[in-house]
Amino acid sequence: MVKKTISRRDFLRVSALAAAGAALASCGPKATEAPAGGEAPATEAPAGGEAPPAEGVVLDIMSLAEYQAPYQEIWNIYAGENPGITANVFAINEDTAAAYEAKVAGGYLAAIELTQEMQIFFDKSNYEMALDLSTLEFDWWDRFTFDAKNAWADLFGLPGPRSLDFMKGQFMAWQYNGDAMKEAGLDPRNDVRSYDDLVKWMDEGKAFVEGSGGKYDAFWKQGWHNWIFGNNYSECFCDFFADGSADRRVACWKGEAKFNAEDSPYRHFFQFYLDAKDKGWIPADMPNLLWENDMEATYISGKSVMMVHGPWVWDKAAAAGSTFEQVGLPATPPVDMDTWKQFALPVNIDNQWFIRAGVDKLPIFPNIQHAWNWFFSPDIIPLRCDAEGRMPLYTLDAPFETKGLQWQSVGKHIGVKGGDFGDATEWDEGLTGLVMASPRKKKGSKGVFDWESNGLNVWFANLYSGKWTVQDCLDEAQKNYDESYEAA
Amino acid sequence: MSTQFLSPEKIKDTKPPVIGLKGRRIGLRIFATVIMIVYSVVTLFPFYALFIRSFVPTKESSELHLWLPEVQEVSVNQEIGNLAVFYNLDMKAFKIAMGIPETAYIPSRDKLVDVAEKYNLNIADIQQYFEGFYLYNGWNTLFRTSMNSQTFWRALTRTFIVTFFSLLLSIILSIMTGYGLAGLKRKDQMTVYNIYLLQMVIPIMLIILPQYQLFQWIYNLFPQYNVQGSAFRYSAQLIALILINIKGTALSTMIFTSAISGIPKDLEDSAMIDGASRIQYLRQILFPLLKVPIVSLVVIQLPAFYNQFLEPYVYLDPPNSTLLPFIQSAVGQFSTNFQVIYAGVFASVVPLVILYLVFRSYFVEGVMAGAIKG
Repeated sequence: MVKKTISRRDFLRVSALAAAGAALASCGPKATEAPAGGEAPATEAPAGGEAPPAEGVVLDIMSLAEYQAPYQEIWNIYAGENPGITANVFAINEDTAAAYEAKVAGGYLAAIELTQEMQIFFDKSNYEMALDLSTLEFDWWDRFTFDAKNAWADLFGLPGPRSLDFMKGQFMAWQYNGDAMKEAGLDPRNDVRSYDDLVKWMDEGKAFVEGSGGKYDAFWKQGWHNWIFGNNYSECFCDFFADGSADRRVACWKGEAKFNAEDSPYRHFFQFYLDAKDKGWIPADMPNLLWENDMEATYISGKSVMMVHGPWVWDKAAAAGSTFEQVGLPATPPVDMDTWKQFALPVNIDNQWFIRAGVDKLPIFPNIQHAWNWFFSPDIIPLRCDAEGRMPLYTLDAPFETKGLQWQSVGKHIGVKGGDFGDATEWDEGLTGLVMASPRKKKGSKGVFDWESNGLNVWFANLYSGKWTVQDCLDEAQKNYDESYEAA
Repeated sequence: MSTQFLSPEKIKDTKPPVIGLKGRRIGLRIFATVIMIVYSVVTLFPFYALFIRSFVPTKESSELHLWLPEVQEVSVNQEIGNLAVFYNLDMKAFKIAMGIPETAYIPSRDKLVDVAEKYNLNIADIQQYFEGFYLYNGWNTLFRTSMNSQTFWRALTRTFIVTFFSLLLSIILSIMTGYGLAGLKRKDQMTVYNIYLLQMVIPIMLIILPQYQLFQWIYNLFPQYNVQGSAFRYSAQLIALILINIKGTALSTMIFTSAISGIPKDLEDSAMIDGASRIQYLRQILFPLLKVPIVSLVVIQLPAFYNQFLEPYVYLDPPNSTLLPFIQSAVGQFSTNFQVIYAGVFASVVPLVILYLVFRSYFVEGVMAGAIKG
């Protein structure tokens, strides 16, 4: 038998040839590159009406982890209408966001993404990572009830928008176990109309729980959430007071007033939470209590009576099989004014849904553009609103009201004459100072309330342990503002 | 210094111990047994608690459960979207089971009774479908539905494939590396060895991205790689993962270089004189002698490969992921289905425990390697 061998030299020669071949091949056009020359650029592909050819196209679409299933249902409609398309809805979460971004940096491109878990807010430092949505063919700009096309571009003086949203901002309102409240002999929905009423309600509720013989753990069980405290409660709980109004808060962010002034609107936020602890309304170890595992779980299990929360736990408690009646109340009954304000986050103009730069170079970009247009079409908006229990800022073809429980119990009565909370309720939902000041924010800075790195939790731990005063918190906020923002 | 002895009188006066030698031995044995039982309970209890917790739905989660809780059944007035959002109800499986067309859209806010009415279904059938839904939600979601277009079984299979090939190839390559570097007699051998050791100071987090980009660059040479969901793409991603696992690491190099150095060179010389090729020497003489270092490496690397999170998360598409990224995908921003997480963690531990139990004698040998000199 002839034994065929390869010499070491031949082996090295073959290896060198293979390496040279691979290097040459890599110099050729990439498979993902857009066709050059006379062909139309991908961005001019048809958007609305006619769907582009779609054989074997897979669209990776990000969603919030919670709403993945309803969003998959919605995208199944699209796949059904466009044979050949597979719409793969996936989700990331706060823990895996960094790894996901590493993956993207390595070349992975999803068709449509969502900023939320990655905590992306488009500004001058990062706007180029997303496509300019105003350059896409999009049929629905005139449907938005705010200037979705220009609001971000006008604020930043940059081409945009880079992201798109259409939902009314989330709001935090009192949410309580109606059965337990009845058992306590309390009826806040009818009895609470002012801050003094609220104080009385809290004191009576606390006394009720203390006398419940262990049936209830807490009346108001507050847990910690960095984003909600730093971005939402911090605005919301100023609205008890006339001098905590939105325009006075915005003035601080514009540099026209000081966060640590004696009449700072933000004093009310810290003072309210300090009072709540001192009066025993909330647990003294609140900064250590987990939002979901402690606060939400005890409410859902019926061991605590109430929370201040957004729309999702209304649904979560119902889904968990909690049989008690869920009732709500706007968060901040007024102290020294007639109007009862309910803060809502402004519509997102610098975050939410986006298409990453580079996607326009993919061969499937025409399909992605078509899908994007469909995703924001009037037929699909109500489905998305109902999935999340929120209202659209978008003109639909037929009247629409979400069946979401928070909206039904609280939201729909605000700003409505003869609503359940009287005639004098109003939304406080304009652009916040945080958004308005974002063009001046220095890259990598911690921002005023330092919530992104959870620094605010340390502030509250210090406040609750007596190491800091409310003034110390405000001084820290002002210091952070000076360090984090360029002068207005 | 003078030595003092007890006088016979004193010895006579000394009282015998209350417990004799035999009694003390029994006492010691009982004490050791109790300590071991306590230790075992302390070690095993978290696994038990984890298992029980996988049956505890959100509503019962604020209390400690040492046994399966009594859980209510799903009401027909539940909104189907909420069950999908908070309990990972697989809408596709539900539609198939109920005979609803897969392409039909079920609005999130439709209650189960509405669905029954719309599709002319028997309420009893729906109730039967949801029997034990809350109690077994974690395990049902894990074993019978998909998350991120991915099922537990597929993720587990991929984990086995990646772990098996990573271990197999890394052992083969490490033996070859060790064989090449054994003895560290030449300067170039020492240099290569030091380069391997240098990897110990480079954190994986630092190189994961350039490594990934390198693979992307290579794979992008193949147009099929850019077809999302293609078998080529998924296979290439798994191969990339195996390749980064089998690259020479400081640990395997150290183990095999030192083990092979301890094998007399005369053995190789005699094999060569007897006409063996190098491959034959490696396979038939060296390999059997390296059983202990191989087992040592397996003991260390098996859980590391099996429990990999970051690399698969970065390298693999969500529908192609391995076990840990799959389990992690149950974590949400506002809400997390902890039943699935606990069930997933427990289920992912089981195969590893079985492996260790089956091969425990080898593992003990591997762990004890080098502990006793002789």
